[in-house]
Amino acid sequence: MTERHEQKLSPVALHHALEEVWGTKPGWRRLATINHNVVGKRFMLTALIFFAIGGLLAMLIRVQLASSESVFMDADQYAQVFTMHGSIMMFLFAIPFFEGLTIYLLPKLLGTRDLAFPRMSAYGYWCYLFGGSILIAALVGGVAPDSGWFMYTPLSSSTYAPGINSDVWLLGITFVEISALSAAIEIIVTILKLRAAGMSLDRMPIFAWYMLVVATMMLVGFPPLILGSILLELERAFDLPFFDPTHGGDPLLWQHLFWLFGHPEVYIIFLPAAGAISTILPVFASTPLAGYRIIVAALVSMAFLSFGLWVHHMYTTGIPHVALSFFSAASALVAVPTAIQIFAWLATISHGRPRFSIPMLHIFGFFFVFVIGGLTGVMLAMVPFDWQAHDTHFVVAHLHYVLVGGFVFPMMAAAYYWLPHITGRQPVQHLSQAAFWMIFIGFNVTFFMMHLTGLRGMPRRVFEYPRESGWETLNFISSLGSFVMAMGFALLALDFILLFRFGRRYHRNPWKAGTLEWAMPTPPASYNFASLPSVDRRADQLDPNMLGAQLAAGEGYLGFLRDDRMELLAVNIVSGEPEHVVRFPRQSYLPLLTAVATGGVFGSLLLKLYWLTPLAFIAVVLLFLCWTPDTGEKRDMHSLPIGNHVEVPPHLEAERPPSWWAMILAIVADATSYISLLFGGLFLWVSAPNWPPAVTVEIAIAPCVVIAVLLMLSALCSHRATPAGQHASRYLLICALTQAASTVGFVWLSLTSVPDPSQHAVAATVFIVFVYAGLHCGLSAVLGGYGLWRIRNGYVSARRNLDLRISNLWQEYSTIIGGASLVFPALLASLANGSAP
Amino acid sequence: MTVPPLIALIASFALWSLIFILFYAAQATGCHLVGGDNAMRMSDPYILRGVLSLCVAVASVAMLLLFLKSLRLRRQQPQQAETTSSFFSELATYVWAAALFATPFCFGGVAWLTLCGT
Amino acid sequence: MLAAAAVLFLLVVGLFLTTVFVPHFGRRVTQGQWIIYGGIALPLPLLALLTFFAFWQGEYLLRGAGPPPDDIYRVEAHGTMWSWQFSYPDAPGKAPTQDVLHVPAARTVEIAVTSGDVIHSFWIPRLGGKIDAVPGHVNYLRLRADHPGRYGGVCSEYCGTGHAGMRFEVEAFEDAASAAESESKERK
Ligand code: HEM
Ligand SMILES: [Cu+2]
Ligand SMILES: [Cu+2]
Repeated sequence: MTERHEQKLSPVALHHALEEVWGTKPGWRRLATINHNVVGKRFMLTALIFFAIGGLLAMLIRVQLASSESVFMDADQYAQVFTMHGSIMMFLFAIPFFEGLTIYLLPKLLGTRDLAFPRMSAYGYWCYLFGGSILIAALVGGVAPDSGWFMYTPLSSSTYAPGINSDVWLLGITFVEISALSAAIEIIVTILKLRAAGMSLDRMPIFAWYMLVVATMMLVGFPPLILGSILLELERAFDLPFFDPTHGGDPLLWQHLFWLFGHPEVYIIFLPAAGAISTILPVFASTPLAGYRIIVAALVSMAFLSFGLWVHHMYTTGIPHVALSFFSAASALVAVPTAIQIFAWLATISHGRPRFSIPMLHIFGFFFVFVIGGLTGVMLAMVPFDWQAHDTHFVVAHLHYVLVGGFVFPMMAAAYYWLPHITGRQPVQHLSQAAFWMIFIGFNVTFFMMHLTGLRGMPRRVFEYPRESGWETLNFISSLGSFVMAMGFALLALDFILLFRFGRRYHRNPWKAGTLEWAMPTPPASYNFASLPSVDRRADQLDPNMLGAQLAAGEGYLGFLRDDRMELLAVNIVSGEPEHVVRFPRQSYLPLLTAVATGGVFGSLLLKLYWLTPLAFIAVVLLFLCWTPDTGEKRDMHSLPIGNHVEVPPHLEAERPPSWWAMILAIVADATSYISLLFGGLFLWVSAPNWPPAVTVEIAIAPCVVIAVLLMLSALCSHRATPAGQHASRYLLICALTQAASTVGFVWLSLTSVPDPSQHAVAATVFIVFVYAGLHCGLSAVLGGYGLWRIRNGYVSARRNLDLRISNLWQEYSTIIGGASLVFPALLASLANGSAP
Repeated sequence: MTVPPLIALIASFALWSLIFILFYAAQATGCHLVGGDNAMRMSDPYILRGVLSLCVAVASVAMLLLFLKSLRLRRQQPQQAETTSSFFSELATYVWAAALFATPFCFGGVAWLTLCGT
Repeated sequence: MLAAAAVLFLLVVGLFLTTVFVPHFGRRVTQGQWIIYGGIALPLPLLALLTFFAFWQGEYLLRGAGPPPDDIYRVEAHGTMWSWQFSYPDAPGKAPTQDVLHVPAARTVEIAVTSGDVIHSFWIPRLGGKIDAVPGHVNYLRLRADHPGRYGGVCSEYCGTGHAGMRFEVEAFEDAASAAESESKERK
C-alpha cells in the first residue's frame, strides 16, 4: 500500500484519481455526498430560499402596516406572518447561511480538504432542510407559530395556544438546532486540528479566529435554547409545569433561557460577517489587516461579554435595578470591541491603497447602516431609555439596522467577493451598482422611519393602529421604501443569475488576495488541494499563484491517494506541526437515513404519536452505530508517509484526534444544558410564585446510595478498560451493566420520588433531572456495549483504543452527571420545604 | 506552570463570568431571603448591600492581583518578538486588561442602585 | 444622546469615505494609534459617562420622576386578554374601572401591575416607562402626571390576537373633587 504514492502522478492523473474518491457521484448518488463543497453550497442555497420566503412575509407585513386600520390581514394571520418572518430570518436564514459559507470556505482558508466530520455536515444539512420544511409546511397549512419569534410563555403554552402552532416552532427549530450544534463542534475541531502544516494559531487567517469564537459561542449558546424548548414542549405535551405560574413555574424562566441564547445569537450572526469584512477589506486596501492581535483579543472579550447581557431584553419584567445594572454595563462595554474592529478597518484602509469595487460598496453599506444600529443599540442598553423604547417599532428599526447592516450587507460583499470562487466567473457589473443603491436607499427609507414611529409610541407586533395615532404617514413611507428594497433584492438575484450564466472566466486569484482559498483552480475540485500546503507566515500574506501551481503538481503533503481513502492532515493545535493523518469514512446514505429517522422522532412528537417516538429514537441510535464500522481499522499501521519524507501515525493511533476533541466539545455543550437545568430549578425556588409547594418530594436514601456505588464502579471499570489490555472486555461488560443498572435506578427514582410531576414545578424539575441522568447512563451503557462489539470484531488494539477512550470520556462524564443528579433533587426538595416566607 | 495558551487566553474572562453568575445569584437569592422581593420595595436592605459591595471590592482587587501575577509570570519567560508564545502572551494581557476593567464597571452598581424590587 | 449619536455616526462614516477616497489620509497616524484612539479612548469615556448617567436617571424614574415619594397614591392595574381593570386601594369606596385609569395630577402614583393570563405590558407613552404584567408576579411602576389631562395607554407586549386593541386611557385630575365629579358623570 505504500508503493503507489512513491511513483509520482502527473497533475492531471492525480486530479482524476482524487476526484474519483472525493467527488460527488451523479444521479441519485448525489444524496450520499458528504463533500463540504456540495454541502456548503446546499446550505447557502437553501438559506437563500428561506430568505426569499422570509422577505415575502416581510412585504406582507409592510403592506398591512402601510395604512391604518388595514383589512389586508386579520390579527391571527398577521401573528403568524410576523412570527414566521422573525423565526425564518433568524433560524433558517442567517445562521444556516453563514454556516454554509463557513463549511464551504473554512477548509480552503485553512489549507485542508474538508471539515473534520463530513458525514456530520451532511447529516446537519438534512436536519436543517427537514426542520425548516416542517415550519414552511405549517405556514402553508395556516397553522404556523404565532406567539412571536421568542415564543413567550404563557402565550405559547397549551392553555393559550392549544393548537399545533407552538409545537411546530419548538420541534422544528430544535430539529434545525441539531445542525447548528453539530456545525459548531465541527468548525471548532476543524480549526484546531485540520490546518495546513506550519499554520500555528497566530498564523491563521483572521476569518478562522472569528469562526473559532463564533463556534464556541454557539456551543454554549444553543444548549439553553434547546433545553428551554424541550421543557416547554414537555409542559405543552405532558403538563410538566416549568413555566406555569399557577403550579410553581415561572414565565420568566423561559425568558432567561431564551435570551441566554438569544443575545449571544446576535453576535453569532454578526461575527462571521465581520470576519468576512476582515478578510475582504484588506484585499481591497492592498495591505494586511491592521491590529490582528488586538482584534483577536477583542473577539474573545466580546464573546464573554455577549453572554453577560441577555437581561437587556428583560428590562421591563420587574427585575431590580441593581441586577439590570450588571447587564446594562456589560451591554455598554460590548460596544468597545466592536469599535476596536471598526477602527482597525479604518486604519487598514488609511494605510493602504484602497481600490473601490462592488464588494467595497457593500462594505460601505455595512459601515453606514451598522454604525447607526450600533448607536441605537447603546441607547437601548441604557435602562431608562429602554423602558421607553422597548417593544416599540424603535426596536424593530434597531434590530434591522444591526442584522441587515451587520449581516446582510457584509454577506452581499462576501457573495460578490467569493462568487467568482464558486462559479469560476467574474461579475460583469451592470446591475450590481443599481441593485446596491436600491437596497441601500430602500432599506434606510423603510427602517429609519420606524425609529420615529417607535418613539411616537407605536408598539411592535400590532396588526392595526388607530387613524388618529399620527403614525400613518411614516408607516406609508416605510412601506414604500420596503418595495424599493425588495426590487433591489430582485435585481441582486438577477445579477447573480447573470453572473452564473454570462460571467467572464478568469485565470486565478482575481482580487489579488493572499489567502489559501485562491491557491486552487476555480471552481474548486471536490478535494480542494491536490496536495496540502505548508505555510511559513501569516496565512493572509501568501502568494496563491505560486502556491497553487506547486500544490497542483503534488509538491505538498499527501499528494497521492492511499487505499482509495480520503485522507488529510491533522496538526498540533498550537504550533501547527503535522501530527497524524485523518482517514475519512466513505460517502454514504447513512447521514440522510439518520436524518430521516431523526425526523421521525420530531414528527411523531409533533403529531402526538408518542408510541412511535421511542421506536424512532432507537432507530436513530442504531443508525448512528452503523456509522462506525467505516471509521475502524483492523490492523495497526504505526506510521504513514505523508510525502516530503515525513511520516505520522493514522488518527486512530493518535492521542488526541479530531473525534476525541469532538467528544470533549459535545460534553461541554451537554454540560451547559445540564447546568442551565439546575440553575433553572434554583431560579424557580427564588422567583416563582406558589412556592413552597403543597406536594412533597421524598427521595429515598438507600437507592441513591446503591446508584452512587454502581456509578463509581462503572467509572472505575471504564477507566480500567480503556488501555485495551487483557481484561478490557470484562471491565467493559461490568461498566455497561452497571450503567444499565443505574439507568434503571434513575427511571425508578423518577417514577417513585415524585408523586405526580404535573402537580408542581419542583416535582417536574426533580423528575426531569432524574430522566436526564437516566438518559446519560443509558447512553453510557450503549457505548459500553459498542466497545465490546468493537473489541470482538478486532477494531481495538492497545494502539487503536480510540473508541474506548472516547467512550470513557462519556462514561466518566455521565458518572458525574449521575452523581449530581442524586444530590441536586435532595437539595432542591429541602430548599423548597424550608422556603416558607 | 504550563497552561495551554488557549486556556490562558480565556481564563480572565472565565473568572469574570463566574463572578457575574455569583453576583446575580447572590443578589436574587439575597433579596429572596431578606423577605421576598416586594416587601423590601421602599426600605433599603443595607446589610445585603454592604455585603455585596464588599464582595465587589474584593473581587476587583483579586482580579487586579491575579492580573499582576499573570503579567509577572509572562515576563519571566524569554520572549522573542514574532513567536506563537509572544502572540499569546500579548493577547492574554489585552484580554486580562479588559476583564479587569469590566469587573468593577459591571458590578459597581450594587453600591447605590435599588437592590430589591422595582 | 441623539446629538452625540449623530456626531459619532458622521465621524465614522466620514472617516470611512475620506480614507477610501483621499489617498494618504490618516497615514501619519499609526495603525496602533487609530485603534487605541478610535476604538478605546473615544468610546470608553463616553460609554462610562452614559452608563453612569443612565443609572442615575433610572433611580430617578424608579422613584416616579419626582421628589422623594412620601405621599404616594396607589392603584392596581390588572391585565387580562384584552383589557385592563383598575382598582384604587387608596380611595376606599371608589369603584374599579375598566380601560380608564383615574389618577391625581402632580402626585406620584404607584401602579401595582398584575396579569390574569399571559404577559402584558403596561405603558403610557407620554408619562414614562413601561412595566410588564407577568402572571404570578406583582410589578410596580411609579409615575407622575404633572398636568391634568388625558393620556393614551397601550399594552406593549404581544399578548395574542387582541393585542393591538388593548388600549386604555388615563385621566389625570387636578384634585379629588373633580375626580369624583367625573366619575359621577361617567355613571350617568
Ligand atoms: C427584507 C427586508 C425586511 C423587511 C421589510 C422587514 C420588516 C419587518 C417588520 C416590519 C417587522 C415588525 C413586525 C411587527 O413588529 O409587527 C419585522 C420583524 C422582525 N424582523 Fe424583519 N424585515 C426584513 C428583513 C429582516 C432580516 C434580514 C432579518 C434577520 C436577519 C429580520 C428579522 C426580524 C425579526 C427577528 C423580527 C421580529 C419578529 C417578531 O417580532 O417576532 N428581518 N421585520
Ligand atoms: Cu441582546
Ligand atoms: Cu396585552
